[in-house]
Amino acid sequence: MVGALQLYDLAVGVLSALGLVYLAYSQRFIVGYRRFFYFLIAGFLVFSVAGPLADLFAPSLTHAVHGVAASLVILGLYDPVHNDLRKDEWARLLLQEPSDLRYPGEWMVPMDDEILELFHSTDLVLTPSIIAYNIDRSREEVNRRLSELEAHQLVERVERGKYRITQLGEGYLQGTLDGDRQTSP
Amino acid sequence: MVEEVLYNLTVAFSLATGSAAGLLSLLTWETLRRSPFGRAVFVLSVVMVLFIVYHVLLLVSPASAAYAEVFKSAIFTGVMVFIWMLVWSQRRMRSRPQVERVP
Repeated sequence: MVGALQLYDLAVGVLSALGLVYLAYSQRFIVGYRRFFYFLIAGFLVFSVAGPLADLFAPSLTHAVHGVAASLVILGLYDPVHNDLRKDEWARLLLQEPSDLRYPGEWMVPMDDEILELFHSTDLVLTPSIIAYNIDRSREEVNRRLSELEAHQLVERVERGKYRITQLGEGYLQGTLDGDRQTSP
Repeated sequence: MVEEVLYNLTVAFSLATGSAAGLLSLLTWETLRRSPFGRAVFVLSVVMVLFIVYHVLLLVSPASAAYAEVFKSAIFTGVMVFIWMLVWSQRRMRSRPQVERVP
C-alpha cells in the first residue's frame, strides 16, 4: 500500500509541476511580485517533485526536502505580507489628525497651528487682521501669537505688520521639526 | 542512533519552516482574500496546516505509520488543487474583457 501511495504522490507531483510550468510561462512578463511568484513556484516544485523522488530513492532526505520547500514558500510569502504591513502603517499614519504628527513646543498653543496652516495653505504674505478674520480670532490674540512664532523663527516679518511662514515653520507643519528643540534660542 | 537524530532534526526543521510558512500564508490570505487569488491562497493555508499536522504526527508516532503516509498523500493532493486553482484564477482573469481607458 505504501509503495502505491508513493507512486500516487509522484503522479500528483508531476501534475502539480505541469501546472507550475504553465503558471511560470504565462506570468513571465509580469514584473510586480515576481520574487513572490518565483519563490512560491520553486517551493512547490521542490515539494511536489523532489519530495516524492526523495521518498522513493533517498527516504532519509524526504523531510529535509520538505523543509527546503517550506523555506522557499516563506521567502515567497514574506514580501507581500511585509509590504501589506508597511502599507497599513503608512495608511494609519496618513489618516491621523495632522496635528498628531507634529511636535509642538511647550510655548505653543493650538492657535499657532491654525496660523501656520493658514500661511501654508495660502502661500502668501499675510497681515494679522487677515489672519484673525480667517481663523475667527481677535487681532490682538493673533498679534501676540505672531510675535511668539517670530521669536521662535517659525514665521518671519517681511515688513511692518506683514508676515510669512519660514522653512522651520513648514518643517514643523510636516512633523519633521520639534517645536522646542529646533526653535529654542 | 545517528540516523534517528538526523531524522528527528529534519522533521523538526520541516515543522519549524512549515509553521512559519503557514503563518505567512494566513497573513497573505488576509491581504489577498478579496482578490481573484483569495480562494487559492486559502487552500494554500489549509495545505500548510496539513503539512504542520503531518510533521507533528511524525514526531509523536512511528514514521512508518500508514495513516502518516495517507496524510502525506492528502497534502500532495492539496498542493495540486492549490496549483490548478491558481491556473484557473489566472485564466479567468485573462479571459475578462479589457476596460477601455478614458483618454
